[in-house]
Amino acid sequence: MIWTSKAVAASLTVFALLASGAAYAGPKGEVRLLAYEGYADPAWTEEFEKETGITVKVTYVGGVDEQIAKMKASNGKDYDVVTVDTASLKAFADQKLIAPIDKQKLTSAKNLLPAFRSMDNATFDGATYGVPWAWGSLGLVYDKKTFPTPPDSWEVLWDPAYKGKVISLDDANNDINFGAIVLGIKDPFNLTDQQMAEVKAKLIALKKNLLTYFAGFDEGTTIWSENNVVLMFSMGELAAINLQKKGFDVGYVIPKEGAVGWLDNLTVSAGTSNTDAAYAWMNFALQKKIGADMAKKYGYGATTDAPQGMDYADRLIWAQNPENYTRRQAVWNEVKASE
Amino acid sequence: MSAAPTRSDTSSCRRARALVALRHALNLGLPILFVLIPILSFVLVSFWTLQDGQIVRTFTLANYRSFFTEGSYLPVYLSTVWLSLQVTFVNVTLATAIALFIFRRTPRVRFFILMSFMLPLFMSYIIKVYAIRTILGQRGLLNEGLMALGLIDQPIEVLLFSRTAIFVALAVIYLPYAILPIYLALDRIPANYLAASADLGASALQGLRHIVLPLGRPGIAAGAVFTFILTFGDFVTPQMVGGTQGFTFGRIVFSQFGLALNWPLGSALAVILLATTLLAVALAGLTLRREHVR
Repeated sequence: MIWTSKAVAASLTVFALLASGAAYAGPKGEVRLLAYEGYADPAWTEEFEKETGITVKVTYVGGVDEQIAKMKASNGKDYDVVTVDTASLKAFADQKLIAPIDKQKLTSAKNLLPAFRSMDNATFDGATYGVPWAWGSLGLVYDKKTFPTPPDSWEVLWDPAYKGKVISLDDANNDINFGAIVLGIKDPFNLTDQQMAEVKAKLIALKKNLLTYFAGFDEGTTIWSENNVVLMFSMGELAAINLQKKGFDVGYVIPKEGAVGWLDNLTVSAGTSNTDAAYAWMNFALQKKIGADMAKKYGYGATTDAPQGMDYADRLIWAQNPENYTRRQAVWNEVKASE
Repeated sequence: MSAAPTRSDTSSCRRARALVALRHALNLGLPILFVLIPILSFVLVSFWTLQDGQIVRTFTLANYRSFFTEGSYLPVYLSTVWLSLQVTFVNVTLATAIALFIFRRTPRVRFFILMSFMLPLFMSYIIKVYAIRTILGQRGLLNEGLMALGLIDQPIEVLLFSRTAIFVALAVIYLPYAILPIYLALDRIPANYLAASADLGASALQGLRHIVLPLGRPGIAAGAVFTFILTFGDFVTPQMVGGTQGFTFGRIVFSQFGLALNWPLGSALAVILLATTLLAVALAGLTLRREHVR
């Protein structure tokens, strides 16, 4: 009776799977977040689970590329709340990966600081797709021993004196924005062919001075701590905070050319199976105390609480949709393949 | 009572036939469903194209043309093939030596040595890459060790974030995949073949050349194919240890599926990657077939 034993084994497997599923989901179901590091602090998720009975499951991504690939893979069915930066919001909405925000359900919208309350940045064709949640910049991290006064220009990254001691973020779109800003191009998000060629040459020149590229905050700080790095075109304030926590004497500065600023939004996945849980998390996250805690722990600017020490918002160039992602990826690939 | 067995015979016969049919359907259906259809779907997408950020479903060879003419695709492809061939050559040589070493021990010892070489497979791939990075870094184990011993006074910078680092990391990570098939092939050689050759006066070297290595060839071919395929498709290790040199073909494929959203081009590049690995398998198969004929 081989088949009976097989049947027993199969049903046991099914039971085990069911049991494990039951163990994960709380009494009010589950909310699945697709987020960047620092957007779902364990202290908050614990409090949320206690308050609402909804279990939180977090999937972290290192960049927009990874995020969009994950969302595309199941048309959003694997996630309920997704943090999307303003520059990619339209792409997500056009691909129908995220759903318009139901403002009736967003009871905590009143907590937003006045500057963020309009949600203009996330509104296309009359529908709002995202709620501002956190902001920051792609600034310069520098070693304070090597630079007693903060470098005032990005050009220091190209200085041969620091060859092999510079690391740079690896992100097609943001690297091209960065190159354009350093070159003083007025609109770094809409480059002409001529400007694109200049940016490409500038980035290839930078590559020769680099130790390596990195992706993600952890990757950047790990490489910094294991090698003799003194300058980093960083993914944000968190890079400096993480390094300071590890005991490295580093500073964070927005050089005179300016820097890309970003604004991440909370969005509801178009494939969500638990809309109520999604809004419950958004309403929870948009409290002043959570915003203040996020600023303190991760150095992101909150949209519900005026951030301390982040006085350079007026020098940031807020990220917009670039003229053509596909073209930027192709150019960036050529930079990375160059000798 | 006499009619009953006949009826149950036909019904059990029918059931048996249904079971056989089901088994055939599963044997054929599962590979088609989970292997063939996914592959065919990206082959199909590779003939579509991208216009204004949207996939247009018209048949075109434009993506394949791009591979040969545009930007950096072909040079990166060739350099990745070359890198993979180098890793394959070194790993097969090392793995053959290690497999021979294990093969020469007593059966009980063999198991333990084999397991110790297989141990890294129980560890996550990413952990291995990170470990390699902490060893090779400028403030890494190797540099600190050499400096403590006074052999160098400045950290060697090219250990990490260079093509050499990619080579070393890939070789270390994929070595077990070459050892295992080669050892298994050697393990199947009947002991009396070697005993007979020794009785007839063959030296150990002659035994190795005329018995062990020819009979081990299927394993060596399998080890080479495994190493080549795994190395060629790896898009994480080179990026993490290669620094500015870490841009390999797998990385280009990967990059088409992010914000660029160029699935057609990405699929075409993936088809080229798949064709390259199939070619490797076919070449390995050919060398073995010749062996049979002889």
